[in-house]
Amino acid sequence: MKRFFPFLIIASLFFAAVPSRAQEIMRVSEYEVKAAFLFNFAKFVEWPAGATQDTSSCFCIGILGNDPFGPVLDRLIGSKSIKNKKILIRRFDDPGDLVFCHLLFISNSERPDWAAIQEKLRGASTLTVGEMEGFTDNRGMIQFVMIDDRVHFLINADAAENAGLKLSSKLLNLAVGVKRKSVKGNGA
Amino acid sequence: MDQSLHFKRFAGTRRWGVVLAWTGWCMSFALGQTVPQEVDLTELSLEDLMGIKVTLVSRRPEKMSETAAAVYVLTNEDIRRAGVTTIPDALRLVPGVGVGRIDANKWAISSRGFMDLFANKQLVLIDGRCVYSPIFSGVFWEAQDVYMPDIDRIEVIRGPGASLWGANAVNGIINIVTRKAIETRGFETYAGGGTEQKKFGGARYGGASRSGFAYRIYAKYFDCGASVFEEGSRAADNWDVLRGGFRMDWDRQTGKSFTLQGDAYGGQVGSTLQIPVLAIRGFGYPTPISGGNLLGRFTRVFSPASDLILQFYVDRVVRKDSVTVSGSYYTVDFDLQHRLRAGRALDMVWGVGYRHTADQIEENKYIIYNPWERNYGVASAFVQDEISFLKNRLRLAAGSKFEYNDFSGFEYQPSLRLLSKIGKRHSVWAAVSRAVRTPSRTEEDLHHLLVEGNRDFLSEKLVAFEWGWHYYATERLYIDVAAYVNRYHHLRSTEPVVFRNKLSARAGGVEAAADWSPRDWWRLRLGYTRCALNTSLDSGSLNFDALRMGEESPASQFTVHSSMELAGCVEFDLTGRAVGRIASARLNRVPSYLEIDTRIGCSPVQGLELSLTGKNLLKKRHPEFLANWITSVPTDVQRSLSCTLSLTL
Repeated sequence: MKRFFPFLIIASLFFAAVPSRAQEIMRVSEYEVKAAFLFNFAKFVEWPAGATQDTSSCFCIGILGNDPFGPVLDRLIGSKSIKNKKILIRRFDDPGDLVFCHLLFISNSERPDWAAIQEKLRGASTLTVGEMEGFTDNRGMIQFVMIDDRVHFLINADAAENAGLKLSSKLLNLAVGVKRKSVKGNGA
Repeated sequence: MDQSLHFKRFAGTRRWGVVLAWTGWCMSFALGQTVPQEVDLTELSLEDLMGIKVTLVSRRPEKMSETAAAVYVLTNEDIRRAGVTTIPDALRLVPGVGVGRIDANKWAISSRGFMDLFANKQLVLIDGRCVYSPIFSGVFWEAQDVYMPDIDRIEVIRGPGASLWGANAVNGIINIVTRKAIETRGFETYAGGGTEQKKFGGARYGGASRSGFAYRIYAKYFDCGASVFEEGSRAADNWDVLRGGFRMDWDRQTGKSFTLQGDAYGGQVGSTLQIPVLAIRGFGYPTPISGGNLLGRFTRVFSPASDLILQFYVDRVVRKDSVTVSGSYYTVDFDLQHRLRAGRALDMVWGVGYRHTADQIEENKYIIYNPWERNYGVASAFVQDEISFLKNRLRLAAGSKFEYNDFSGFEYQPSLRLLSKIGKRHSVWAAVSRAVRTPSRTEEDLHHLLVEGNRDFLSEKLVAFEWGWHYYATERLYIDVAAYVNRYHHLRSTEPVVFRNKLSARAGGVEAAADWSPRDWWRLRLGYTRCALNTSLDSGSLNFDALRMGEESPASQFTVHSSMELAGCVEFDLTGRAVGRIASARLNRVPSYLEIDTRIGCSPVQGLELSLTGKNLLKKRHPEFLANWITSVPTDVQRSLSCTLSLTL
């Protein structure tokens, strides 16, 4: 026991000396951060004027499949606006139920229906966001990747351009990987 | 004499008083701090968001609630918070896994009964590499280790998983996964000492290039001192191991990635010979152990609906035991796995694999293996399909593994699993599966005074029926319940001087776990396990000892783990374990026990962490488990304290 006294004393000094790091231990769950990312993505993307099939004055964010966000999404961004439009959050169980959304988050549960989803989204100016592996390699536009417990993202710029979306250079610069024409896409 | 005893007791109380006072003082500082202000994340820039380290807690129950099996995942954070320094100690945190320490370097670890030094129904993998010994059917836990801060997670599946994982995944699978190299960049080091692990330390350095290449190297060492025998004399179970390794990942986020990793270790484990039959304690002796492995894995994601994994490894294990079995073996393993999804009806995984083992077992005074060196292999193939109905509400997975091994020939291990989601929060599942435990080299080729191997030894077989309920009550409460009925036959019996398969058994049990966060800074985990095992002898068997096998593992076990995050960056963890009594056929018994482990950690400045860990605080010492097979004399678990300082740059 005696040999622990020095440790105890040193340890105690730490508590006494530096008590105010409380702010730094902000604990945030993965999907809270991802929800904030969705909100931020919308700021850096331009949708083609008049090209939207959306008649309402809302900015629609859709979640397709098993919703990993839960109530977090509504709480964080449900009452906010993007580009002066009120945010409307819609959830879809099945690709067949899809209606136009500015931004669509595709849950990992929809992996098997990926081909059907792409067919459904053909011609629509929808920004697709996903987190399944290979998402941006297969015409998905933005893919979340976790690096060292931090949220990062990949971009398939070609897929976004094909859908008539303009991604700001800032967004492209922050991505950990950008897929462009140099790498041959699937010819959509 | 009396007086000095009294004084000692007084001194003991005072010591604990000091520790308590210190704890209280630290906590008073901690509680005095204000709780961090809620920040509106949407106000933050993308750069800021990318810098936030997130907790992945919410993902875990969701993933688990999707699985038609009894699964538990222990995260890096859970392991760090518990202050554990060995894998067996980490496994104590998993509800439903029995961990019994035999001596300072030997454990009996298994889920759903059958705990033993060589618990042969529990498969263990480290980064996709099987560490289950083909010599003994079991795991030499003293030779299994990783750089603990680099563990990503430990996934534990209770119940058979043989349809995917293959033979010996009978009662459960422990899957230890380390982090990707990209996640372990920078320099990290820790060092500490204590009353049980006398000194320990390690360091890791990792880096990455912009082109998608990342690497890390690590080295660690520990010296675990000897513990004491039941009556108080010093045992010879010292244990020290030096280990180093690396991992390199190439991942350009183009759908192709490659991993190359390896480890090497060397050390010494101490044992005390137990003279069979007479149960007399013999001499203590050290056993040098060493080994290494090299593993390569190529992953190709063709599309979100199709991916391929190709894996290859070589593993070398050396054990120079001068009294019992001394030998070495090489394992070479090749595995290919492809996953294909198309619509709701097809989510298929299939794969093929081949594993080859070449061993050499040295002859000694007591034990001979005939032949002393042998080559054997296992060829395997598996296929599993998952079909979902009713918009994913009902999922059916069916599959089987088919294997051919040189000991018992062809084996099939099918399983059928059904999961149904009820509402948003509940899911219930049921499964029926068959799994086998294949013969080991020992059961085939051993020649010993008391028992002989048997070339006609069969696989042990299990048919298991399982049910479960995952309840995702709120964002803060997750409940998981599983029940099972297992029917075993052809279990190993030790007939007069030969191994046979004349034992049958029925086991039934329930396992319940809850994960509750009453506050943002407080998380509580509870686990309860109950298992009843009844063995019966087939006609002609004389292995009457085996009838008491059900008493050799604790029938029930209850754990509570509290994790508190106090302001001022103090972490306070407390674990309580209540474990039922065990008895062995040799009239030894271990009474039930209640123990408490705790850890207090603080991080006064970013990157520096100091922690104090106390284990088995309630009793000065007590026994935890008895070894049944080729044995070393068990020793007592002692109350212990340790202190760790870690630095991250």
